[in-house]
Amino acid sequence: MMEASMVETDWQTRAKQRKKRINIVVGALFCVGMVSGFLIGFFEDENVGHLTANSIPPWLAVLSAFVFVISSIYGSWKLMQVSDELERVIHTKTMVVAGNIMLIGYPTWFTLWLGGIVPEPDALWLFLSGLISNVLAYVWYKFR
Amino acid sequence: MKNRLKVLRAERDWSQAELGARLDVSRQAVNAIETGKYDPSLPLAFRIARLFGMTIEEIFDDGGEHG
Repeated sequence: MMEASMVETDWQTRAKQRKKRINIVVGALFCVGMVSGFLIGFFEDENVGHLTANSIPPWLAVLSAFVFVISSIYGSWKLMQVSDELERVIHTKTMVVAGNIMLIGYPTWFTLWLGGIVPEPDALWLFLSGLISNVLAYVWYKFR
Repeated sequence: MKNRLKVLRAERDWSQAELGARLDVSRQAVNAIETGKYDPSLPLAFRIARLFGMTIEEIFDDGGEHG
């Protein structure tokens, strides 16, 4: 009885394989991001400043940008293959939310800047607002 | 959109994870369809219908009148 219940059924095996495929892609992307972040942190010139122009060697900037573009495109394509349709729909919706936040956020910030109310629009903050809204939208659509 | 997925699944004594694996979707997707939070695509609706040996209309009800 115990042994019978411990035997993995076909659907359990398929479910595990599905989960494993997703974890491999996400894990690989995470590792690439970690290595890239570590290299930037390692080669960053502290005398120039943190996250400022000319703070990392040009070769590392080119390499990091290249790795980011390739891993983003390839990773997205692989994730599309291993995810189910609900996950794909959620990702599409969250990208729309993030895109709208940035597309509406920049002109709003720019207009306020023209009026001298706020500092000049900052690309990093706009990107972060898009990223954070993307994560919040994902949590909302996934767990509501 | 209303559907009979939960009833059909219960009749076969399948868990959401088991049905998800049979349909090649996640347990969360099955739950979202059952609770009406997500309407499946036409290909997935066909897979569901075939799995239960029924037509799509016998499982899903859009509340509209049938001509």
